[in-house]
Amino acid sequence: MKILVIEDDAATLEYVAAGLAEHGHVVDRAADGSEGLSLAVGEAYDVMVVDRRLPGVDGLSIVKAVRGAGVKTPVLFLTTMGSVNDRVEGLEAGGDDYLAKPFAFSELLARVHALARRPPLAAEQTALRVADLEMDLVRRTVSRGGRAIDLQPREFVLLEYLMRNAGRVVTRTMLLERVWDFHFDPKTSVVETHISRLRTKIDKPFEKDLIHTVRGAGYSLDAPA
Amino acid sequence: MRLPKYLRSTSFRIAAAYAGLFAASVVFLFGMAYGLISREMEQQVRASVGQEARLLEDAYREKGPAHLAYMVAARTGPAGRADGAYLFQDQAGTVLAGNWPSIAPFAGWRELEVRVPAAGRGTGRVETILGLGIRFADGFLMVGASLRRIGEVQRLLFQTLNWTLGLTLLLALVGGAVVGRGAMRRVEAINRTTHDIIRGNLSRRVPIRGVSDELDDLAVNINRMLDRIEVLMGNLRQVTNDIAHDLRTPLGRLRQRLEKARNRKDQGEEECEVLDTAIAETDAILHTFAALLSIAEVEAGARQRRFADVDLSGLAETIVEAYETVAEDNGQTLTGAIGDGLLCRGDRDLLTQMMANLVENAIRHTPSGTRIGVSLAGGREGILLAVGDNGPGVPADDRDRIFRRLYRAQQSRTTPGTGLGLALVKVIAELHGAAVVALDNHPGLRVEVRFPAAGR
Repeated sequence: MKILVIEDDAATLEYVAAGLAEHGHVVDRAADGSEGLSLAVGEAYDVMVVDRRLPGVDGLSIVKAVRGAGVKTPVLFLTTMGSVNDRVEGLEAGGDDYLAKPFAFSELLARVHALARRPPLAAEQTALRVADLEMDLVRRTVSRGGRAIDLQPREFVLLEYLMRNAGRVVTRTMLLERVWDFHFDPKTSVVETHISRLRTKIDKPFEKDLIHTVRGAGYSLDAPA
Repeated sequence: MRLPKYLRSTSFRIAAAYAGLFAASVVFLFGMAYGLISREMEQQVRASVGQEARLLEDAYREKGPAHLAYMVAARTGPAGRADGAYLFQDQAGTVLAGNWPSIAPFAGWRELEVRVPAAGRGTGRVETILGLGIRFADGFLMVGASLRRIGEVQRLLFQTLNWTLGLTLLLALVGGAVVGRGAMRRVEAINRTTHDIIRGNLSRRVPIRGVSDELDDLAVNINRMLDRIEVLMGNLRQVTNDIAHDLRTPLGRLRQRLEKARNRKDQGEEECEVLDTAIAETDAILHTFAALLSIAEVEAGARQRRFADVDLSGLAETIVEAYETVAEDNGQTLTGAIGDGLLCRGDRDLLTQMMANLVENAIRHTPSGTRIGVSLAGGREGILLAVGDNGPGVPADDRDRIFRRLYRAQQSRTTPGTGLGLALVKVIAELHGAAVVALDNHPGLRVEVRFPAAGR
């Protein structure tokens, strides 16, 4: 993918850009707001990573201007405070996701991947399918290999998110935000216990596992190779 | 027996002291007046008795005893003055004239007592006579006057003194009580304010009446002191937050370096373990700082601008559902008794975190087999959220302290945590005007958050 990173702190810029390049992405760097803005409007990117607070033109203004210019590129905000106000303001300005500094690179990578433009889903899409696992979004039913699986409502939401991001790593924090709307870091294993309940129903009765743990990063739902 | 409070108040004691001083000076003045008046009146009696006696003595010397007897008789007769005492007797003690029984002759002044029969029955009263005795060669003359008037005046003086004293003391005490109660009300206002401040509401100030007396001076000085303390506390908090804030960047860098090292392809299993631990430790520090900063942010109150109607019932259901499985995996049970359709004005994210922290606190600090209950109920008083468990509980002395920053109860020192979870609960509750209390659940701990009724 082609990714733009706008970040005034040289060390963070290097860390993010180098990391993304290592994972095979093409990265453009901008060290301040005005440079970032001209790149963002002039070039076509798959994802933009923008620091919320920049000298000169700050991150919020850049995203507002970019959205004003009709550019729909997904934006990931980096915030220093990690405060909810920052998150809400960022989303209101047209950001798609936010990440509080300091962050684990795996977290950034997972979010960039989740944001990357997917082939647009047909509006009337009513089912998701990964290998022999099927989800009917209208009837809210799940089956694997033709056998119906009974899920709790929250387990259904969790599985839906995993299936929509099939083949990609989703982090614990992403699951907390998307499935439970928790914007804090629980001190207990909320995600882990629910994943393990889901595994008991989705994987255990079957030969091949679909839900994988990615060490140091998160989980991914993948068709067995 | 304890005195009523206003009798123990300083201002009343001062009033009482003044009353005492006043009473003492009243007594002293009366003593002076009494002595003066008594002496003066006695002088008058002596003067008139002396004059009368000299007159009679002259009459005796010039005209003889018979004439004296006649004069005395005239004075004591029905047409004479009856208020004097006269006695003229001969050598043998026979009364020649007068209204006094015979007595042993004496020369000079002497006080004599006589019993005056009462009008009705009864013993009557004793009256004192001041008599001047003059001896002659062949007889004895005594002229005297009753001191009854002096006694009456003295009694009158005493009565006046008693009344005056009583009134003085009464007025002083009542006045003192009134003044004392007024002053005490102000002192109590000062005390109430300081109690509030001790409980942590540093923005309170002592009321000032604007009469610029010493109590006002005291209030002004207390307020100045509070301003100073608030500034210092603010500085302290600012420094804490600045440290937390400023250290996040270098810590973030440290984390990045560790992560880079960890992800190198040539890293051995053992090194990876070490680096993972180091990263986890760094994360723990960063979490502590983040929690400190969230508390500071919530305390600053800026979040109130984003308040909206929050479905507390829905939040509580979500929390119970999210943590049921966590509790179950710990061998505990988590149940909810959530009332329907309870709303409050607030910040959804913060309220979620508050409930989660309460439930996690119960899960993490109680052993396997504990039953944890979350309840949410609405009433006329407002909304009551309670999280209770039947675990080991918290000793009464510690119950208020568990909401302090970085406080770890004795039995929880072994469990991992920052000691900021409940502190955050408290500031979030206070941001929403809710009160938080930790109670004994008989057994276990019960934390209640009482949201005020809407519209308050």
